[in-house]
Amino acid sequence: MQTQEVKIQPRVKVVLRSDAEQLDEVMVVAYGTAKKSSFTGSAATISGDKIESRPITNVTKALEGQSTGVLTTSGSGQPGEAASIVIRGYGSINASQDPLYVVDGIPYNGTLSSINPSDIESMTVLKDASAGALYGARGANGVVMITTKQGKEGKTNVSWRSTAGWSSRAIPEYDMVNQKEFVQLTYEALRNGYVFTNSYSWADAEAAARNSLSTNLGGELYNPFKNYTWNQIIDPTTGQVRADAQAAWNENWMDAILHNNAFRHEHQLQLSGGTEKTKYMFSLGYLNEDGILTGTNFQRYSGRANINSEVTEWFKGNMNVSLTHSLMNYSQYDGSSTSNVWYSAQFISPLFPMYVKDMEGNNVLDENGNPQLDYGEQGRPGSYNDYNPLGNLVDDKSYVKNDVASLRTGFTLGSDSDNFGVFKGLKLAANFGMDYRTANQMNYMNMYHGNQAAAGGLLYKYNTRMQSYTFNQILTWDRSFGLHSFNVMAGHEFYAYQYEYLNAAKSNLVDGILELRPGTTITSADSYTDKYRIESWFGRFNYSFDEKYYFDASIRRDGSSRFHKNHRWGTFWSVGGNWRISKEAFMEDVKWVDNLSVKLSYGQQGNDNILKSDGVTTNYYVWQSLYDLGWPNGNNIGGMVSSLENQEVSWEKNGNINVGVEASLFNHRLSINAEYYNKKTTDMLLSYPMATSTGFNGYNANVGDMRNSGFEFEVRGTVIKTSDWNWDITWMGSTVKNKVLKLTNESPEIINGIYSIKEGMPINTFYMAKSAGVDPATGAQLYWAYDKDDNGNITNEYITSDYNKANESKYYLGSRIPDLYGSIGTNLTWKNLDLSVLTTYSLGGKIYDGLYRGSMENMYYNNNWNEHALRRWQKPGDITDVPRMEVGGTYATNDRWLIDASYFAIKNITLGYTLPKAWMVKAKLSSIRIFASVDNLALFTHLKGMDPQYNFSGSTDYSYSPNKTWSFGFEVNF
Amino acid sequence: MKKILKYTFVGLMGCSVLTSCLDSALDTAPTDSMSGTTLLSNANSALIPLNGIYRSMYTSWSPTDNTHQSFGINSYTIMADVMGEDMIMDDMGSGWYWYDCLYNVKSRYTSSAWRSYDMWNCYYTWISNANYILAAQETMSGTTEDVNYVIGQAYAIRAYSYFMLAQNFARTYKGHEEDPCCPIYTEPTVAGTAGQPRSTVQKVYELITSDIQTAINKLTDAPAQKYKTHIDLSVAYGIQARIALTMEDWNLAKTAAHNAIEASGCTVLPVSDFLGLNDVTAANVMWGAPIQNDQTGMYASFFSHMDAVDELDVSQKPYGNSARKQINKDLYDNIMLPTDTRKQWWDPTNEESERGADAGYQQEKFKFSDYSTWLGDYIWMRVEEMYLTAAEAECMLGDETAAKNDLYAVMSKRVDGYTTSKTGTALGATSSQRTGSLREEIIDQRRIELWGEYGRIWDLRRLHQGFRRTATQGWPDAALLNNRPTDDSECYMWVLTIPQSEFDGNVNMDLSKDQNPTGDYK
Repeated sequence: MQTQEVKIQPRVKVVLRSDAEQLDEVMVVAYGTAKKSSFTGSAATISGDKIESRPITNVTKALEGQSTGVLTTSGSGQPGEAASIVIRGYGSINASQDPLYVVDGIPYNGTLSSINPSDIESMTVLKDASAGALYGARGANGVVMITTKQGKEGKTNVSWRSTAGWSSRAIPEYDMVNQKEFVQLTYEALRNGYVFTNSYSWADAEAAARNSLSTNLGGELYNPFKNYTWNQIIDPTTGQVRADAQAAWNENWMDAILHNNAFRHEHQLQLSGGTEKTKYMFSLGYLNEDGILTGTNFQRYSGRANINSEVTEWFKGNMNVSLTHSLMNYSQYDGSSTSNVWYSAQFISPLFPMYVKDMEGNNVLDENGNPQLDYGEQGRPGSYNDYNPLGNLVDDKSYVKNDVASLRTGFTLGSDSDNFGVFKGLKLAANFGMDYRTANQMNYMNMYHGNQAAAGGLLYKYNTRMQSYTFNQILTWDRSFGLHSFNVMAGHEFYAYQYEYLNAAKSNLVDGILELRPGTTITSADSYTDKYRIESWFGRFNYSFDEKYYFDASIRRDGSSRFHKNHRWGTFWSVGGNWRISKEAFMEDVKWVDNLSVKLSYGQQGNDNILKSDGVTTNYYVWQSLYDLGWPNGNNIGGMVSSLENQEVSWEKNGNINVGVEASLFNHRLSINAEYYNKKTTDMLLSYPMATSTGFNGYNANVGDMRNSGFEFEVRGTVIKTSDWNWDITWMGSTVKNKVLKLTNESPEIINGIYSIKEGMPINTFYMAKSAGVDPATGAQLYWAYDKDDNGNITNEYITSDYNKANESKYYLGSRIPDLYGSIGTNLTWKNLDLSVLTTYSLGGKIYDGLYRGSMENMYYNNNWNEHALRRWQKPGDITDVPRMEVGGTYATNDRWLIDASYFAIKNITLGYTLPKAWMVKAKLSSIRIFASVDNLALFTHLKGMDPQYNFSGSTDYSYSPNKTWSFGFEVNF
Repeated sequence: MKKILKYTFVGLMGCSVLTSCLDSALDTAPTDSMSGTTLLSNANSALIPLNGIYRSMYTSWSPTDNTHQSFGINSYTIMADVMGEDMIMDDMGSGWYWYDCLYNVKSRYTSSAWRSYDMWNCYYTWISNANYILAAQETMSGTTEDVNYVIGQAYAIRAYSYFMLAQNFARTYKGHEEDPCCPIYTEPTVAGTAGQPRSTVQKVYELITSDIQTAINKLTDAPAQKYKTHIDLSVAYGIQARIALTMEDWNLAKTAAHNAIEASGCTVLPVSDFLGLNDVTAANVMWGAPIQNDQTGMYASFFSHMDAVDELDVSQKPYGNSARKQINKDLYDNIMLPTDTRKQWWDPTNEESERGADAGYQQEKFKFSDYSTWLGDYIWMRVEEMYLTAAEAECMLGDETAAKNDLYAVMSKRVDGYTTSKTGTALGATSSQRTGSLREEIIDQRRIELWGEYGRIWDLRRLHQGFRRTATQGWPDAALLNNRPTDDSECYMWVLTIPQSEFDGNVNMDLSKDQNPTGDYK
């Protein structure tokens, strides 16, 4: 039961209301709060305990499965790293798709990893225009509002919470072949090369392949099979690796660099309380999380104080301050660089040992009797020159230290009291919010081995300073006259952002000193400053009649410094209505309906967050033609033209319809929330394509249109409800349909590698050749190919092994976008025991798994093969789906690497036990809860090893695997 | 109390008006860039955009990936060398250049990480940057000489860029004048500039020859070379000589080469005086890039790909160690004279190659000046090339005495007592079909002298010669190209495909009609 305060008066009538009735829940929305029942827009609230129950370090990782319409990536397993989020589809092509993050009412520019998840009271995801139009130029991709905990009236509550946990890989490794299979496949690749590239006879090719195994696999030193030399390992009569070959070592590189029990612990102290007038909340937090990869770690020290005070009846003030220091140790490498262990160690030849071996295959020990890391100096073949993954992780160092300070303060003048006469309900508020961040980053490449050994080590230092502030003044008027209620708001806001970057690097360092001063050779020195400002005027009008009909309209006018002064002002607006049918007289007799409302909204939002051509960095100077001065020629200043002027470039607009039904039935045992949305992005910021021969591939222009639409539902049912038992189940599902409506006249299609963005199709549709199996005669990869007539229609389809022809015969083969995704969660409580389970699912869509391809169409002899390569074609007549083995072969990129993206994941299971009240009284405590949880327990996909949530466009990369974490903890309140 | 409230109200409203800052608060400008109008207003600051172009001639930037094999002029020289028969890639190493060497890049035209996009984008970026400078020709303040210095170089850069485009995206000039080549732009690009259709080879060469002549005219009346990367009069003549050679305009090739020699003041140096070819201050260097500490490309650099640093006791080796660059043994053993001092540019012992005796001979010609800091200057034009160009032109003009004089100018510093009695201009259909002519001799010396510096495939193409790689030359089996028509100089193997991004943005070019053949012939 909810607690209710009732004033003492004669004949008090107390109506008990159940917890399930959440309709009058107050939620945080743009520039204020709203009752859920009166809200005309679409927003989801995620309560703090849902976040707290998971051992997450970055709050973005808590969102998956908690709200409909929100798609998330898995995020890297590097402790502290964020997951990415898109709300209701993919808002843009060349502008950012990220939502706006707002903390305590002010847009947030700190790092998300600096927010202590335990400080969060709730998160609200604003999904439609009615909810988000007040964020104007920044609201089109949705808004995630984070509200921190405030003190509550009453005695001081002290809460101590500690958890300890152990992490391991959440996604299993790909199944790779073993040493013997590897030799067998390498031998066949060599033989096939001689047969099919150099036109040897089969027998000659076999002999040549046997003889060239040694050079390709690293000579006898790297031959683990000490009972056979490389030229004898293949039995010439069978063409197979000899069965009795005995390996002297088998040292998996990945095993040597991953911890299976990376330790994570977190401690949190919270004090809160207050009087009727003044309330406060203080918190201190400490987190230390080791990554599963050697040398990676994240530590966070956080402190927060939130105070609000009602000084007089008409004067209120509040101040929230948070300070966070965090330190992240990470590995600086990515992609297919040797030093990126997620590439090299994960897909390395299984023959290569971790430790130096002698010719007999025994470890060569150092003077202390320890095995020595093998850097390949004795002639490991291929390009992994002077490299050992473990040595590299230990010797190279990278960290980033973030210091984030956030301030949210404001005061309100005015009152709802009758004493104020005509001023009743009129309030003026001024709010000031500031985020300040310095990041101190270091990347060091060591002086003993690898890239920078000859240079004596190379050290990069970065220092960046970010400061942003928002200052607003808001006038509100809130009055009811009989059954009519009004809430009117008008305001002005100014936002300023400044980012200063400084970097320097030197090589030839002093051993043990990771500072620039002793270094002798400057290799880099750079600095710049970026500025961004927005000025805004906004207003909102709310009207309700008899808690039955609600109407809402809002408007915001933004001027952004990104655009030319003639095109920088834009107007964004929304209107919405909500009809609570259940309040109508004709519904009075329908007892099983507790609440039923329908709502409708439409509005226009904006997006000014244009990105540079790298698709990551923000472009603050979109319209200007500029010379980039980063091209000094020796001692002469040098510049190159970097952009073309287009004064007219402006906002991306987003027209957003939302229709929703909310129902609560059977005495609140069943609640259903269903919505349909249709978002049309117009004036989409595209790089208007230009011929590369003009020196530019395009210029920024507002030209395209795109649509995202879909259904969302959330069904929550209480299955069992007795005094001891409570069991509820929540099922969420969302769909998203994306269609590119218009690009440019010049180019109705933008092709980028394996992706096509084409009018009439979903964004990032896979566009590549189509496999037609394997030629039984030669083992060659076959493709579908076609000819086209003058109108571009396909005339004649046929099968060919010509990869050039296949490259010209590409097909549209679907996209990553799922048909349906969502979550199923359940909570079960029995007496003091509680169990919650969260699972997520996604059906449909495809992923182009480049990692899988990389281990099936190997580029180098030191790459390992996926187990599926064992199905390869071996001799004429074989019928199979895997072509003959080749190394460095040439293939057309084809749909063999498109994997069904559907998955089912058990994200979290938490079991908790609250100690009986009777014990508490004795111990003079208010409560103790102990709990255990497992996060990212299991993932079921169509391909073992693949991360189905690597990104939104459906590719994969050599990146830090997400973690599975087992943890235990307790919370004491007194 | 109500009064206080009222006053505060008014005060706050006032504040809010004040913070509704002036609209100018919304005018922001970057700190790492500036507008072109200012830069091009006078001849002094106009050196900034000019220097920017030169910097990009030895920096990685053009493709979106695979940048380690794309760092301006020298990276394309390596590419053009490994496409021929004289520079052997011992192994694929990390894969850089391997796909050029195997002629396996044309099908990758949809990707912006490979040669099609890389080269197209690179040269056209230089052209568009040059066009901005040329557009300011009339308004640029400064002395005539100073303006000429800027404008002359911009014309030369444009000529050079179109010349390189023509050599890579169409078959050679002679015999293919009416083939489609590349689009022409001579005006500065603005937002919405329409893409042009492909012009013919003839039209493109007309622009090239006129641009280089204008450059020469301007640079004749201009200050001396201010920095070694700058194209001065001698370098402009040198570029003109290269163009004329490719167009088989022997008269112009001869005079341009001689003019270049004279204007440069450079002298032919004995091999021992410029070992390592890493110093642009050497007396034979006309054009090149001094490389300084903070402007090296590290791995993405010329010496990283060439130098195996076998002699250094360092654990980490550059790409040149795993993907060794070696000379064709036929050229070294059978064509180069035993007493040729250039023999020291290669090491015939084959000690370090994994392929042992099967391998070609390791190059020692190009060496880092300091591997620990990745230093080593890039040489773009040496005076020896001009003598060899003049010699070939004179041979083709029938003036064999003059030809031999120019040949001896180089060879006297290479081989003690060098003479040749060869005569005639006959060349084999492939480079291994020997004719014994004087022209062949001049070309042979050119193959040796300019190994790694000119781009062998561009010479082969203008000579209308094919080639065959063999195992005895030292080529690895994987790169023999037995099944490919390398012996047919008319095939399209060496004609690059045009990148997809061009078709995406150019209404005047249609992928199905205007793309070069993606295969060897069609």
